[in-house]
Amino acid sequence: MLVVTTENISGYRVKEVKGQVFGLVVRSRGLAGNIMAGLRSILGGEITEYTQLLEEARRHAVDRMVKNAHSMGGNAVVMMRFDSSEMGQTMSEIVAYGTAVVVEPIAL
Amino acid sequence: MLRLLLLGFAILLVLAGLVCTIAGADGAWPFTLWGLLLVAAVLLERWRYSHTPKADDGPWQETGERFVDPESGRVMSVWYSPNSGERRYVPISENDNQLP
Repeated sequence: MLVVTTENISGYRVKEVKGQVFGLVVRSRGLAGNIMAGLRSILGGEITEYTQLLEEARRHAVDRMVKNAHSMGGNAVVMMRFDSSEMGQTMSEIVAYGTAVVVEPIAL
Repeated sequence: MLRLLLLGFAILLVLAGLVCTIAGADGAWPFTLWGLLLVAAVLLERWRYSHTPKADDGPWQETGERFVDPESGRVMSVWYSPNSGERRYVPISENDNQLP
């Protein structure tokens, strides 16, 4: 499964467009993680608890998008993008989206 | 380190609440309650994204995608199952050129 942020994939041609595909996840840290992040913010610097949270959310969103593209019969996702927002004080939403397509190698 | 400090603080809170309650201070029970809640929160917190792949979801293909895991600092590779559409993350240093 190729996932690219470009419209075209070098060496491939788009044979069929399957349609838009999304992978959405809302995640939060627990009470302890939020307390640790709050303590860390007193001194400043990177808040590793939230870095980890968003990294996991990014992976989770891409995984869901790829699985959805697979279930649509696509073998690639083009024009992939991320979007994010907050829900409440401690929840983060990340959505990965793009266009599921079927690509085939260009015969030389 | 910070996690251990927080756990230590929570345990102290529980102990202080218990000692005060045994000594006859009726208003000390919230210390025990909040301490226990904090101990549970530290020990049971879940954030890591992991899934249990099905046994028959192979074969796996390496996608060539790489990234540094901010938690461990290790370079991770991404594998894909064309059968199930699942993705899997494998540290490169330990499992280079091996199926996950």
